[in-house]
Amino acid sequence: MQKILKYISGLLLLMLLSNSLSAQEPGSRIRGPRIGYDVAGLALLYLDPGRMIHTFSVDYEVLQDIYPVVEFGLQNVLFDQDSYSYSSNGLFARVGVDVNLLKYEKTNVYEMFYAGVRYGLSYMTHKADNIIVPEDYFSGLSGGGIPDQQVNTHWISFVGGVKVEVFSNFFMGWSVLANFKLIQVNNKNMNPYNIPGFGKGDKKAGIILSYTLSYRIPVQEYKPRKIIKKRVRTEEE
Amino acid sequence: MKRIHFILILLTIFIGPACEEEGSCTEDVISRIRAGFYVRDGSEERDTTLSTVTFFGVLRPDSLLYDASSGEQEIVFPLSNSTENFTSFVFMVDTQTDIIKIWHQSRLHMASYACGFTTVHDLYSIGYDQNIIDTITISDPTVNLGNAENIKIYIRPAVADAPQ
Repeated sequence: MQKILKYISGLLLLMLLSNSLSAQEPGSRIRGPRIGYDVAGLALLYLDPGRMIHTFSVDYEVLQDIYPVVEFGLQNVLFDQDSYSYSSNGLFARVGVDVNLLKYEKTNVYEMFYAGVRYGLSYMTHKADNIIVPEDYFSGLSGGGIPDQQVNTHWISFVGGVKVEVFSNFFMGWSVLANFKLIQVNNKNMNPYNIPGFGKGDKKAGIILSYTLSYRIPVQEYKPRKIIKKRVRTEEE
Repeated sequence: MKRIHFILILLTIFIGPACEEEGSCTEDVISRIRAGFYVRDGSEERDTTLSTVTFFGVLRPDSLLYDASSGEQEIVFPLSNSTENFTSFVFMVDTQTDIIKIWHQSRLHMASYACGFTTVHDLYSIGYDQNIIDTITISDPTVNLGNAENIKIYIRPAVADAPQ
């Protein structure tokens, strides 16, 4: 019961904050942590049923058009083939910054067409069981396995994307991440099927698409100090 | 840019995460050792071709890997996947016979997610009779799905140069 009360009071506080900041001063902007979830992972239920990934993101407008970003998530893989079973579990994080490239005319517009960069790292374990190796001259091998092995990967991502404020403080957007592997530490007998947050385990580079729904908690109204190459249209104009 | 343009972009460009199908397996996933035939004439070394080569596993006399094959410059054959760490073969040229015993450590290796696993063998020693064979050297100790020559079998000049 206490938890429910805390939850409701938190929601009320959030609504109060939203309302209190809805009447903006001319030339000011609202900012706050924007928390998102990548729904593209749900498409895997149809496209790659053995894999499930959850990706969350948090960004914050420190300066107008500059958004430090943290993305993190987890991935599980489990599938059976005729000659083996495979499973993996892993975590990942990507840390970086997005820069809005749009030149809009008002200060209280939050649509974004952005470019960014990330540093990514992941930790995962994976294993294979019930391995059958066919052989037609000597007897084949069956029932073998590769026990849990650790895989650590570091990479860099270049990002481009779009974000739209579809309702007040509620955003939708897609992005494309081009990932380039820097370091991968794992046993060479088995490359990972998929590295969380990166993509195919045996590739040095890859592309990931994401489609994120996010909510900005409007905690602060501020006046941008300097808006380079942007014309501020206030209500007096 | 107007908001409606953004929303249109959002709705039309979302194409879901990229998905590469693993596809069906078309590879052979049996690792085979490659052995080339050579002759040493003093300090000179040359490859050679043997006719009437018969080759089979010691435990498989009923099933020949090479049956009086002619014009062989190399032979390619599998090693045992079992936990035993050696595999023995019978090597015959005409009426002469040698036993070759290959010690190896075997390990599982993923060929691909579509094809599954293969066994990679790491060679560490080879024993042999010397009726046909002069010496055997290991040139590449890793027996995998590649095409590299793993061992060199030096044939005694008298056998290599005999009319066959």
